[in-house]
Amino acid sequence: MARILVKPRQLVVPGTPLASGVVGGAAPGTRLDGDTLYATVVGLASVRSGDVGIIPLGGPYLPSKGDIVIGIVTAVRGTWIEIDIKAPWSADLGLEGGDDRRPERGWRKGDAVLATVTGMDEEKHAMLDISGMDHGPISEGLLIDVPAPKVARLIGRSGSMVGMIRELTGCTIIVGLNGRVMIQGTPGGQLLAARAVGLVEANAHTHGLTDAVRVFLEGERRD
Amino acid sequence: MPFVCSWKVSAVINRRPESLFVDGRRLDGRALDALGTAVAETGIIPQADGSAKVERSGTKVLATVRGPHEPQKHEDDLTHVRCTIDVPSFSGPVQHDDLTERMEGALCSLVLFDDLPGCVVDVRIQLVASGASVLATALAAATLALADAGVPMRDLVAAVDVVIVHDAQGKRFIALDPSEIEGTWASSTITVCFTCHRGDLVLLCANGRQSQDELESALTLAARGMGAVSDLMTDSFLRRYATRGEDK
Amino acid sequence: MIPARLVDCTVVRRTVRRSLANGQRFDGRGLGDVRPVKVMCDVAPVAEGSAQAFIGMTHVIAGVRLEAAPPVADHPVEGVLHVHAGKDGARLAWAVERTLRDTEAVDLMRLCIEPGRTVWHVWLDVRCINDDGSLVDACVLASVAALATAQMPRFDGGRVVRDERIGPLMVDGLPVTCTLGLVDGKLVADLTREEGTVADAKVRVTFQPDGALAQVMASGRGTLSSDKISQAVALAKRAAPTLREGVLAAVARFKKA
Repeated sequence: MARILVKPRQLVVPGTPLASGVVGGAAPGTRLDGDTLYATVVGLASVRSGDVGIIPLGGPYLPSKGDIVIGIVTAVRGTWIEIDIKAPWSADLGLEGGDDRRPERGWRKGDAVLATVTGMDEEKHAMLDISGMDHGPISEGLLIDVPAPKVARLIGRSGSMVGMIRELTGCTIIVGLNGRVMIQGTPGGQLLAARAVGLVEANAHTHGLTDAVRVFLEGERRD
Repeated sequence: MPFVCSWKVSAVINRRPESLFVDGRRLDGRALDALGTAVAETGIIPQADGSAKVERSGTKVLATVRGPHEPQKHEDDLTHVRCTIDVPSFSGPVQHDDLTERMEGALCSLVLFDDLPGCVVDVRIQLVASGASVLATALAAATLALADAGVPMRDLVAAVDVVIVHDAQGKRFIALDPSEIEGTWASSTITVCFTCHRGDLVLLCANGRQSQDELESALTLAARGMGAVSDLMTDSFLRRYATRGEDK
Repeated sequence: MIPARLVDCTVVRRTVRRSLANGQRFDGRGLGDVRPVKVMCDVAPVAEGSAQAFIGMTHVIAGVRLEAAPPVADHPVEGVLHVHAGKDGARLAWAVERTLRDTEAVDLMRLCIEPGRTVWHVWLDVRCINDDGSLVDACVLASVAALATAQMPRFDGGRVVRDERIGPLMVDGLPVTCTLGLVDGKLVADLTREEGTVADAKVRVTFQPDGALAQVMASGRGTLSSDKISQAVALAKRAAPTLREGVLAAVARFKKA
């Protein structure tokens, strides 16, 4: 039986011993040396039914099958385009099917696109698909950069945080799991929603954030 | 116009102190095994993937990290961690010829790239002021910046310098964490770098002449100071995330 | 509150451009407003003078180092000013140097040690730590603050003696630079990095320490009417005091300490 050496939500840094007498695999953000589990990134320890994992506080986006992401085109290569999804590796979008979902003047470097990760090749390049709902080129609005570890906080439990921002700004908001947020609405609504997103990012670690954001948005709306 | 920045000339003119060890104390009043003060901060540059600032013994270093990322198509150097250093003229005299090579060696042994195939990480060191312990301070800043960027690592590292200084009679003393003046006039400077949690030796650089015994004493002295230096590294993250609460 | 970071891409540039043309900015500023300015001196104590400057999230460092060496051939009794901005910083260095020369911020005639043989060389290095627009303006602030607080070392018997400082490097007042952008006919002060990508043209206005106009430089697509230039100078003149205040306050704090 593993002996857990950290408290739940304890801040750990690379090298912090997490558990001893461990048998089995190491969760992301940890590594096993002999039978001792160590943290490899800065994060919060999460302890669940005898297992220790890490909630990272920083770090790049690591793609996963099924993730909805917002990418930026970096190169157009004929039958496929290369897309930056804020991961360490570039992603590819094949142009074979779904032609009706491309920009009128064709794909160009700098274009933004909403896509789903359908898988990864052996070198971890994500494969993207734009056949899903609302997928394809993004031609209007603002895109905000948010560190990938803060995306969950921005979405909120069952989408409560982002849903509230949508409701109080009247904007369409799509949160890419790779840390990019699309905001579409009236110019004033867009700016307000962007400021709310900034507020969440700056205070992601505090209590009562949902209420604070609600108060902020309602205050701004009154003016 | 032929012109050479005359650092060495300036250093010679600054008067060499007669003794660096007086009445059982160092010139700044510290005991031989006492650390000086240091400051470390992370996440200070929003545009970088990771960043850190460290100050110790008159040395100020800013480190920024870009990555992990795939190297450009034309690059074939797959060293995992690539360091560059910028030394502006106002930062002071520093022999930094092989600083980046030494740092790359140490940092490459720390980062874990098994889950990041084909990736590299760029570390840029911006020297703002160079006093003593430049390599140790740069290593600290680079390590914190890498951790800030979320690059997986075996451990953080604690690095510190140990110097051999003379008193007026020529007797040699071994001192931990040199001040600026000790760093300039030491007969020998030894940079030691251990991993914070496991205490593995990652780097050992000795400039100047010292006996085997002196080297061993220096290592022991460094090991004694490592606890406090490790705390400095960890504290920089603790302070930053101090108000952590329940995520809803 | 730190504004959220925009993703640099075609659609965002289009949105930002449209907003600016409607007089709206992402961080809520008016078109003529400058972001918060902060200047701190003595960031690199080993230098003769140094400072760091913030305009919003833009962060730069400048430092001054004095060396004694032979003068330049055609100017036997003048000191020499060298401005460097690191690798890939040639344009930035040139812009800062232009500002300092045109306003004669450093009186090179006072930097002669032995006529024809030895003069002071002022090595000014600027480095960008974080670029969120108005880089030249921030570098000028930091450079002027570094020069204004620089202390001269002594020159004795052919050597520079840095242990002893004999007095301030002469700096005749504090010049200031304000860069504006032209977006769809509208003049915008203190562009962020993103706003800078959509500007059709940029106008850089430099003021003498006493507020007189020293120089106007325009660059970019199309031509600027003299009317537009006048408007730009007027807008810059309104913004300049905010920038100059930052340096004045920092130099005053340094002198008090």
